[in-house]
Amino acid sequence: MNGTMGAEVASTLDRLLADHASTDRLLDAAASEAPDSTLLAALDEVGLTELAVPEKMGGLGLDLDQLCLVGWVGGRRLMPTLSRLKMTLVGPLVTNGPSGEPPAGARWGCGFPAIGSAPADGGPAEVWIEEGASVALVVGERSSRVVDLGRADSVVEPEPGVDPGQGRSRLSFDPDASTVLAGADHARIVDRSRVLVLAELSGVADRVTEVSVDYARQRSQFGRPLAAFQAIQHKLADMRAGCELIRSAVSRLAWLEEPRPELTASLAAATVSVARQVAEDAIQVHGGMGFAWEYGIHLYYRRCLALQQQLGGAESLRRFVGHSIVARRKTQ
Amino acid sequence: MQAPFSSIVPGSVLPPTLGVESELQDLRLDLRQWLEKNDPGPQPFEYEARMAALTRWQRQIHGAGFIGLSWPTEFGGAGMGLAAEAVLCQELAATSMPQLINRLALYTWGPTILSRGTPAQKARFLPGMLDASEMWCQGFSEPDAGSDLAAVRTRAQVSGDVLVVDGQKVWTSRAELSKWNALLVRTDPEGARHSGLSVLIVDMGSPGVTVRPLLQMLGEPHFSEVFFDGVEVPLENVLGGLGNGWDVSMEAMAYERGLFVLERTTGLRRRLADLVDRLDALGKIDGALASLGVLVSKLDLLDAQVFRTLGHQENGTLVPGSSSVDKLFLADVYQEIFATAFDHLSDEGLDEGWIHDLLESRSVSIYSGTSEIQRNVIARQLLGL
Repeated sequence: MNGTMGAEVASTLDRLLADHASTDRLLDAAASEAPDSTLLAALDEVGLTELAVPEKMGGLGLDLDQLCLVGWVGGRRLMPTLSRLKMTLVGPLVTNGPSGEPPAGARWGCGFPAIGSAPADGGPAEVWIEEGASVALVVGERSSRVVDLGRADSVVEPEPGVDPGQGRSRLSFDPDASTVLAGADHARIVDRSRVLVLAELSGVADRVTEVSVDYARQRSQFGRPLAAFQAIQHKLADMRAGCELIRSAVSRLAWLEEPRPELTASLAAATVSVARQVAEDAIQVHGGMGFAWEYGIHLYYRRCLALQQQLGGAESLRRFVGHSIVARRKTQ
Repeated sequence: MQAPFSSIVPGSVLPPTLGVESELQDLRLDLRQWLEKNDPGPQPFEYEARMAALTRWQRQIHGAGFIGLSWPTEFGGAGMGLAAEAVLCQELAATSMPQLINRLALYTWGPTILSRGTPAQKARFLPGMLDASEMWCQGFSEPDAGSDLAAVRTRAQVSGDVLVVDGQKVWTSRAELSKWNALLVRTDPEGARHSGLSVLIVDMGSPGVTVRPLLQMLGEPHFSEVFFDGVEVPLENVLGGLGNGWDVSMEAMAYERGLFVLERTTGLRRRLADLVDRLDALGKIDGALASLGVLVSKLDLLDAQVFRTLGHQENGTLVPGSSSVDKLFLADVYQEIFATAFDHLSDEGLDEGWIHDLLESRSVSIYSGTSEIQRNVIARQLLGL
């Protein structure tokens, strides 16, 4: 795969998000609890959905490390969650499915399983949906369901949660009326989608740390910049250390020759806490501004919390990883 | 974008050359087989017996050809990459003695001598590091120069073809076991703080060297005060040139992060496995699952960090200051493991080994640069503050 393709896409994405996803626009979406449809449409046009689709299926076939770069930029610019799901799940799974339908045309919603969650049984699912979506992909560990949202028994109830404006909803549907997608690559695609969540966390953490360092240099109290106080320097140093650790986790997973879902789970468990601490420290370094709606630091914190939930929640992840080591010891 | 992609791409920062996954499968299997067959059993608790056992163990591993895997073959190494050392660390973790006693030599001063030493120094000092026949210690800290390392006052004056050393070092680990001391001294009393320093390789058997063991909080003579009274050191034992001591020391400290940290994590993996077994035997595993999950995930994260550092070291792209993250996080993980064990095991599951390791863990955020110094370095070098 062309090693510069990911960098080109990431660069395009970065410019597009800089233009279309300003803090004001992100705050508007959060306040209205509705995804920014103009932004989503612009992102669709960039072709995010094709990035993770293999070349032989007509996609761009980016390697995982290249996808991580795209995800990292998405994190820095707080890309809509639905766009990440289209890139990591809708594109690869739908194109791989029995019908081989390209996802273009229809507007898709998407939901996916938390790490260590029970297999999907066709019950209500958490999904991310935009206005006008006609179909939703409910992803499970080994198979997925395509749900027609036009049916009377498909019911979507908004549940904005901690990171509003992303279209998070609860979808009830009739499993018998849905189409099942299953393929050999299912587990790999799901694992990759989780690595991309960590890449996004890396971007969020890096960006909020940069913003905090800049603020600490500019803001003066007691006649000197905040950045001159060792108490602040050490907090910023801890934030930067956290950023390095998260990046190392992504780097480790991105270069594995074969997916290792247990390692993904373990690094996810560690990373969600590190990222959350970084975002909390960012609020603290900003003082009152960190707590202000219009300054938008809370958006990074909200995203960290939401991504933590999407991966399975910190405590569940810890218990899952704990279970794994106990099981390993007992079989040795 | 604010930085060139080459410096920010999450994937490309770990060169795929650190192929610990499959490229070194033969080495891994050889090692595993050998270690299983030769595992010396639990290490003695008593300090001197433990040191002796660990010395024998490194010598034995060396005899089997597994020490110095990344060193050049002309100096007794195997000429492989750093990834091979990582495999050794990972496999050692499954043994009863997951440590290499001469690690300060193997992972810090050996690489520094390989980088900065003269041909004669390489020939003289490297072989004894590998088979643990010559142990190394490091003379940095002084009574008035701890975190403020550049304040060292131990002097060395050139006199003919020797340097004459006078002064005192403190907290020198394993001084009593060591043949060589990598000693940071002031060779130019007029020089500014960082510029008048040199690193000397000092024979601990020289006349005028006095070692006075200090009991640390475990009651063990792990480190010592070392006094130098007119000690003569040949000029050819200056490492990296007179006046370059600060640079040489900082290079040594940078080596200390990669493999040294990885070596420490292997011991932690072993202890974590012990903790799982012990909690299981006590019927306490269910209540500890989340805590165990935290420890496993943090160890995996520390490994990921070290692999990235090693990848950069191998490629010569390590950003100055970045390995302070390794040391800072090592201390965090190290201390949390033993504190968690103490909390969960309670009286019935705690033996003297666990208590020893909990107390000892408090040293990790102090030795070779306190956690506060690491934060200063990160703030200065990575954030430009």
